[in-house]
Order: sequence, then structure tokens, then C-alpha cells
Amino acid sequence: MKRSWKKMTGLFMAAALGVSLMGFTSEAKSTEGAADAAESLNETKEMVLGSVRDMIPGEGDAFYVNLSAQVWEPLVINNNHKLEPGLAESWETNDDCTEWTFHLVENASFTDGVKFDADACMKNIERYKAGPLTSTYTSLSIDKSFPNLKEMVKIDDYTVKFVFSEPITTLDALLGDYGSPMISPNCFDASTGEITSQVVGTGRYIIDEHVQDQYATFVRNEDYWGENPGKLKSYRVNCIPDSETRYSALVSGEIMGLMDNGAIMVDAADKLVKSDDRFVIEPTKSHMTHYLYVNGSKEYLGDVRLRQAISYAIDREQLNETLYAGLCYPAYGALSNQTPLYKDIQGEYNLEKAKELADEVLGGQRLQTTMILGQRVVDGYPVKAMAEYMQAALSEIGIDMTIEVLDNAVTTDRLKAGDYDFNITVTGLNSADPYATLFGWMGTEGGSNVSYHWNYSNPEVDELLSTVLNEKDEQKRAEIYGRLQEISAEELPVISILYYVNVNIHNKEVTGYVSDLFDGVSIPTLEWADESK
Amino acid sequence: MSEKELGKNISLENYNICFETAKGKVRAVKDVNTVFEAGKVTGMIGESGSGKSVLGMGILKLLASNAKVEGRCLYGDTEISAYTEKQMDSFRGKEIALIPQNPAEALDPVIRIKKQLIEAVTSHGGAAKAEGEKRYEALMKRFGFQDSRETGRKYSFQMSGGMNQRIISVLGLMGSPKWILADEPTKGLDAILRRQVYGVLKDILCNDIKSMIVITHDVALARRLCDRILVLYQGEVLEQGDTSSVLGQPLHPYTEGLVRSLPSNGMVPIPLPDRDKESESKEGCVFYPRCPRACSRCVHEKPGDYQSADGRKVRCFLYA
Amino acid sequence: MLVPVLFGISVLAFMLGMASPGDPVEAILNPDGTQIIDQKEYDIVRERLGLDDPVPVQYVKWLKNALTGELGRSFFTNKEIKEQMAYRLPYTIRLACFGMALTVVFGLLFGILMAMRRDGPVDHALRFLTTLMLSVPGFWLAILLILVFVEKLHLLPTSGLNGFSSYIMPGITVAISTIGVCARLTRTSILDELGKQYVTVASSKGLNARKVTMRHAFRNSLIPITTFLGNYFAGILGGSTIAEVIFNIPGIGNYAISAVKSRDYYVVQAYVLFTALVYVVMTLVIDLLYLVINPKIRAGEKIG
Repeated sequence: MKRSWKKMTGLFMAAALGVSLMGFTSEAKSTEGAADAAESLNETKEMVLGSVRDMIPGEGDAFYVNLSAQVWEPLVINNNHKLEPGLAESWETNDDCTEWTFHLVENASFTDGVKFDADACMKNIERYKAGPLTSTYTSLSIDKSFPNLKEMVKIDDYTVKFVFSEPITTLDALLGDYGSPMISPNCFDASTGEITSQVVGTGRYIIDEHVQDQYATFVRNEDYWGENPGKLKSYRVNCIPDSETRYSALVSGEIMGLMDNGAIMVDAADKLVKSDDRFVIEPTKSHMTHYLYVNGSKEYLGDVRLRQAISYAIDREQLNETLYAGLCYPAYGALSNQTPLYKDIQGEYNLEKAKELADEVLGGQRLQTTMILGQRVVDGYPVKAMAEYMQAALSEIGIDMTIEVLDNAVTTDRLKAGDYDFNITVTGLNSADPYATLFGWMGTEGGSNVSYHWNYSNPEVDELLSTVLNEKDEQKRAEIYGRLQEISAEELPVISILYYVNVNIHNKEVTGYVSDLFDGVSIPTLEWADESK
Repeated sequence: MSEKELGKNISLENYNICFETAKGKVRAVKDVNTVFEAGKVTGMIGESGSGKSVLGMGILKLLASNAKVEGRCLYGDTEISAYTEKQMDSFRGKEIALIPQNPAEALDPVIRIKKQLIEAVTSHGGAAKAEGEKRYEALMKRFGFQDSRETGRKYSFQMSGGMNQRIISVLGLMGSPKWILADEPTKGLDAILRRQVYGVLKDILCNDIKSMIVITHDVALARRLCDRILVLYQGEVLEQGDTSSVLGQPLHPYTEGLVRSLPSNGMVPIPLPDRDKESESKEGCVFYPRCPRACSRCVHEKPGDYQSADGRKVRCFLYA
Repeated sequence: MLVPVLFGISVLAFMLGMASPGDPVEAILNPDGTQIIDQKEYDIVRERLGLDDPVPVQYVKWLKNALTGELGRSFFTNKEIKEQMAYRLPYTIRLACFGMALTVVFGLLFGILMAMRRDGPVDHALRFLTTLMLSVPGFWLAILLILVFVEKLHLLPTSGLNGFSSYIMPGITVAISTIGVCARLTRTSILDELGKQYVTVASSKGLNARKVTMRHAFRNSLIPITTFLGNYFAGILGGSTIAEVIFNIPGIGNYAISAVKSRDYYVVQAYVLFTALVYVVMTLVIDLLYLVINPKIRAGEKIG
């Protein structure tokens, strides 16, 4: 009697183990690494990377597939805020910036055979008119890409002219990357703008297999028209939404590297690299910054002196050391130091000054405040620790703070309702042109300023903003933005804390790993390192 | 009948059963010394709580896990109180079988009648299935079930009380045992059913077995059925002897009280125990707090089992 | 019975969704928090999603569609909800079945062992183990499993679907605390039955302890156990969310969680409807099972 029980359980355990091992072996990727040279590896061994989200949101998404997969290409490429030719090889504008002429590349075709030319380009732009088309990346609409477009004219087979009813100085910035996707007219419905079958682009890779929310594989487009065709014959991206699981996948060798920026936290990456010499970090530029939003419509907080006091009371160096192992940068001005129009503005940590200013405003009273934090930010960054630090720091100058972590939607609601005192967020520019962001924060009518109740208003700022909108001269524009950044550091509509640094981590078996500013990794340069055989 | 068919004597020597409970040790059976003679019907009578069922179950080793047994129980010359579970499994149902109380509760509610009954045979060796079927048919017919096939497919909750009563009698007999232990066979039954039960037991005694132990508080039944009687009170056997003597000329004051309390004798109740007397007689006779004929010796000394003139054993100083 | 229940639940879920704070349009146009939303765009999208209509109107429109099987489109991904549900359901079912198998096998096994070896070393050891199992939080266990089996031992894949091996860790995560509860429930139920008279009688027939426990006590104790297991199964059919999220199994639970986060009302509606349906069906199944295991329900009448 006892023996038969034991036998049964023993059998079951053995069976379970056996099956699981079977499952494992059936799943092991074919590593028939042919030979020695890295080149052959590029041709035979599929590279596996990890991403946070599915690379192919697919049907229903305006872009269908992540830009960094290199399946479709835009007219203009935003390379770390430097605008470069994409499917448009050059462009110019007239004196008052109401007409823009784009010269398209002449030797590009979509992978379904359709030629890329002015007709195809214009059909794509007609598609934007059916928008706004929503997407998990950013929305696509004619007003966002070509605001105030009056008409478009086909000059010849490879030249298109756009005419605007208002002058527009930074059209190319707006068209960068997700602003001007070019896909084959045969893969979307002209009236709704929706992509009806698998997307077809002109890019270096073609979508091969896709299992929703699991993985996507891409194979090289052997007929690619441009320079730097992909080195890898094929690559695969596993979608791993959970951060712990991603980490494990790296360590176990299941993936060679991470695809998205933000796929791994800076300090986690730092720790991994220090403890495991199979890995290396590629720190890259990021436009993301930690900001402290302050509700300027509240008594006392509306007083600029108190905001300055708060800024002086925060030891950014220490935060950087503790939270990010010193890899990020203390921030004082509103624009990230890794964006092209950055003006270096220094500030300091000065508790004495902070106390003085605070006393002037509060007159010895203690101020009760609430800090709200959105779940998304808390999940992605150590802002909770940051908030707790601030709680301690600000209590030295007479501000008592309670911290609430809230669901994303609730956070937005509370911000919009003005029902908060402080909010730490991490955000950055959404295009190469800082106008929209700075206007939103500093302009009297600015979106964030108004919605989030900052009550910031400075006539000089409004003046500068309207000037820069029409300023063609790059030098003059840089000066104006510089001045705006200085003001932002003095008057603090938002308080900048740290400029973030993107890290992307990869296994040393991979080289050519270059992180792109906005998202993803530059696929064309990826290849197997020699040692990996 | 030969001894083989009669079964052996069941002897109890210094037999004690106590239970470990959350409230401490509870002694249910104290110092019982007696012999159940094979070929005779012995009745154990007493109030509820007197320990008679516990004693019966103890013989079959069917007590709860917190029960502790001291002393010996012998079947013939074999000390069955020392048997392992495995040995008991072959013993139960074959040598001594149980006809349980509460027929409705005694049967498994989710298993068909026939299956449960045949189990009694097959439990002693799987090859006995055919033999079990035969025995089943025979016994069912004997106990008045015309269509044993149909009845066998039913469940216990579909039968009336009387039918279940007959079925558990069949159950006891399935294994062709030597001894039957009938536990409270008339408990809670009305007069008609009591008569039925008496009829069944009599029938068994005529046709199947001769050795029986009947546990009951129904003194009338005991008088009619049993050859010998044991009178139990609070775990002790106060008087044991043949039926006509014990019930006709009771010796122990408790037995007297019992007989007088019968409906036919006017239902004179036995006096309730006196609290003070209870606390002072912890070392003394167990019946002292209620005894009308107690003396000073009874308070502090425990009486032994004294032989009476007509061969009975009485646990009372009156007969020392 | 099914229809009014479903109707009531769908109304409740809809109202809760509408009443909750948060704005789905905001979630769509600004998913990562870095976008600045243009008011015109906002208005167009809002109108397109039908969010400008008053709430009762929205509900009626949804209901009309739902009755014809059209569950609408997800706000966030713009994909057809019924297609997504159809795609995801098999994964959840597979996980649920595996988790259920583990629960039934180990839950009953441990419970029976504990009951049969009551108060012995086996009972104590298993009682300790099952208490541990039912107090372990799912997500912690999941991470631990990954650490051991993936990082250290390289035996299993981290996530995704690679055949049966992908369901092992999620299955354990899903089942572990229920195994603990089921084992204890089984133990208690069997011990309850073992205290009943028919068990004593069964022993008196000469049956050994194992047969008495398995053939009699266990059979009778199945009723409360079946209820429990039935409810459990219905619950995990609704998607074992923690396991699905951590191990990236594209099931229904995963879907529902992202929908709640982004205020994707129609997806949540569809999910609520689905789980309500599952529970009602499961209750029916349990009732049917009762017919099998409890003859009192099957044959009610007395004779004689």
C-alpha cells in the first residue's frame, strides 16, 4: 500500500521532468553555426533580441511595425536630432517658408514591386489626411506632419512641392521618423487610411514571421536601394513585457540584447555589467529628463522664490550617485543636455539659500503638500526613491510632503484638475524641434502650463516664442532657445532634476550595437562578433 | 455444533479503555474481567455512557485513534488485543462481525447496496467474488428481499428504516462469521420495529450462528434474547450472571434499580447522584452517589468482584 | 437564468468603466507620456470612439452590437475584440487545464496522504508544506522559478510559447496556492467522513484502511471538493493574470489587465461578459458533476 503511493508519485515526477526536458530540446534554436568568419554567422545564425512591446502592433496601428525594425522608411530621418535624408534626398524652402520642395530618391521600390515616386509619396500623404490614425507609438495626422497644408503639387516624377497657408520653419523636423512613413499604396485602404494587409515598405528588412505579443522575425531585403544594407540575414525579436523576465532572458543567453530604450533600468544594467563580463553597456543620448512639476496655482508654490528654494534644496549630484551610479547628469535647464539646442546652464545645491528663500515666502510656517506619482513612471524609473529623498530634503526648508502613487489615468486626471502639489515625471521632446515642448511649458497659453495649472506667465517668453516660430536663421533660433532655457532655469515653470541617459545592454557576442535616440537599436549595423564562434 | 463452527470464547482480563481528549483523560471502561462464552448469547446492558458500546468496539479494535487500551482481550488462547491492523483486517467480519446501530448511518450513502454487501466477502480475498454473489442472493432472499438484484442496485437513502435494518443484518452475516456483535439493535425504534429486530436476531441464532454479544439498553430485549447478562455502569461491570437470575433476583443495588425502572414494573427511577457524595467517593464505589444501601466502607474503598451463592459475580461490598 | 445575469453584469461593468477616473483618449494619444496632444486631434478621436454620446446611448449601441456577436474594437490597439478573444482563449484554456491538472493531482494526493497518515510525520510535513504553498505570493514564486530554472539551470525558456515546456512554470505559479488549499480541504473532508459511522462499519467488514479511505470516505468527500475545484477552474479560466503577465502568455488575463490600465472600456466589457459566461457554465457543469457523484440527487424517491 505505501509502496504503490510512492511509486505513483515517483512516476509522475519523472514523467513531468521528462516532458519538460523534451519540450526544452524541441525548442532549442538550431545553432548549426557553420564556420569561423563572423560573416558566415551573419548569414546563418539568427540573432535574437528582446523588446518590451511587440515590434509589430499590426493591423489597426497607423505604422504597423516599429520604425527601428527597418521595414518602412520615412522621408526624413531623425538621427539623434540631426535631420538626414531618408526617402527624400534633399529639400529646400522659399524665403517666407510657405513653400517646401522635396526631391525624392529615384532608385527606391517597395518590396512588392511598386516604384517609390512622387505619386506613391502623395498617395501616402493623402493617407495622413484620413487621420488622425492612432498608434501605440504616436498618432499620425496631416495636421501634425503638415500643419496648414494648402496644396501639394507634383513637379515631376521625383519632386513634390508643398504649399502652406501659414509659414512653417521646421517642417523637416516634424517629418522626421514617425512623421512621414512611406508604405506601398497597395497595402492600405485609401479612404480610411487603414493598413489592410501586412505592411510593405522600402526598408532593409521584411517581416517574415509574427506571433502576436510573442516574437517577430525579419529577413534582409536583398534588393534594398540604399547604402548600408543590413549585415544580418535575419533577426528575431522576442517580446518580453516583464522587466525581471527580460533580465533573466539576457542572463540565460536567450536574447543577445535589448531592443527598446527603457528596456532595462540604468542601475540594473550597470550592476549586471559589473558582475557578469559577458555583457557591455552602450550608454547613448537620451532626451528624457526627470522633471518636478509644481502646481503654480497653489498659494506659496506660485511664488517663484519658493520654487527656487525647492530647486536649491535638491542635491542632484547625490541623487545621481545614489540612483544611477553617477551615469546621468544633474539638470537645471528645461532642455536635455543631449539635444542639439542645449544651452549649458549650471545651478547648485545650496541648503542655506534654500532656507532663506523659503523663509521669505513661508514666514516660518510649515507648508503641507502632496506629491503624486504615476504608475508608469514608478515602474520605469526609481522615482519613488527620488520622491522620498525630496520629502526629506524639503522638510528641511519647511515643506511637509505626503507621497501618493497612482494609476496612470488617475494621475492625469489629478494633474488636469490641479489636485496636486508636486509630480515627478520623466519626459522629453517628441520631435527634433523643441518649440512644441517649450511652448507647452512656458507659453502663457501653453498646453501643459494651462492643463496642469502652473499659472506661469512671462511676456518676454511669449514674445520669444512667437519670434522663433517664424525665424528661419538657424543661428538666431539657437540664441532664442538659449535665452528660453536660461529663463526656465531662473523662473522654474518646471524644475529639472536629472538628464537621463539611455542604456542599452548587449551580450559581447554582438557588435555594431548603436542605440537610437528615440527608440530601438540600429539594426543595419548589428552583427555577430568574431569571438562568438 | 463443533467448536469450529461455534467460535471461541472471548475473554477480557483487566480490560481498560481510556480516551485522550482536550479536557484530559476520560476513562470509559474500567477493570473489566469477564468471559463471553461461545455458543451463548451474552447481553451487555446499561445506561447511555456506561461504556458498553465502547467495550464492544474495543473488542473489534474499531475505536477512535485517541483511544488507549490496557489489559488483554483473548479469542480462545490468542491475544487479539495485540493483533496488528493487518491481522485484524483478516479477523474482522470473518471471526467476529458487527451488526451496527443506526442502519441509516451504517451504510455508505453513495455506493449501491449490493456492492457494499459483497465487499464483506471480497475483503478477505478477491477471488471470492462468485462466492460473495451466491451468499448475497441467499441471505437477501432469507431476509425477505424478493428481488435482490433490483434492491441491490439501490442506495441506502432509498430504503425505509425497516429495510435498512434487515440489510445491515445481511451485512453482518455476509462473511459467515462465528460471532455476531449486535450494537444497540433496537435503539430509537418503535415497538413494531423492535419486534421485527428481535425476530431477525432470533432467526440468525437459529440458522446461522450461536455466539452473540448484544449491546443494548433495552432490558426487555435482553431478557428475551440473552443467556447471560453483564450490567455496566460508568465503565464498570457491576453484576454478571445468567439472565433469569440477574433480572429476576437482582443482587447489585443498581441492577435492582434498573429492574424497578422498567415500564412493566412501574418505572421507578433510580435516584440522581448526590453531588457531595460524588466528590467524596472518588476512591470508592462507582455507584455510591446513587446507592440507597451504601455504607461507610463504600466511600473510600473500591469493591472487587465477589462470587455470589448462585455463581454470579457482583461488584458490591454487600456480597463480599 | 443565464441571460438576466449576463445582462445585469454587463450593465454594472459598463457603468463602473465609465465612472472610473481616467481618459481612454488620453491613453491612446499619449501612451508613453511624452506626447503633447492637439485639441483637434483629441476631439476627432473622442468622437470616433463614440465617447461623446451620453452613457446610456453608448451602452445601448454596445448592446446592439454585442447581441450580434460584434464586440467592437479595442480603443488602444484598434483591433477587433472578438478576434483577439478568439486568438487568446486557447492559451488561457491550456494554462488553466494544466494548472487544474496539477491542482487535482497534487491537491488530492497530498490531502489523501495527510488524512490517511493523520498526526504522523507525513501529515505534519505535508501540513507544513501546504501552509507554505498557500501563503506564497504568485509573483514572487514566478520570479524565483525563473531564477532557478532559467538563469541557473537553463532548463526552461523564460517566456513565450515554445511548446509544453512554456506552461510548466506558469502552471506551477497558477496552481501552487490552490494545491495548498485543496489539499487541506481534502484532508478535512476525508477526516470528516472518516468520523462517520459507515466507515466504522466498512472496517468491521475486514477492509483495510486504504480501501476504507479510498473506496468509501474519499468518494463521499468529493462533494465539497468538487465545488471548490469547479469554482477554482472558473476563476483561472478568466485568465490567471499574474502568470500570464510575467511569463508573457498571450491569454485573456493579460489582455484584460492592459485594457484596464488604458481604460479600454469595450475590451473590459467583453472580458467581463466572458468571465460571467464562464462562471455560469461552470456552475452548470458542477451541478452535472453532482449528479454523478451524489446519487441522492440522481435518484430522489424512496420506496417501501
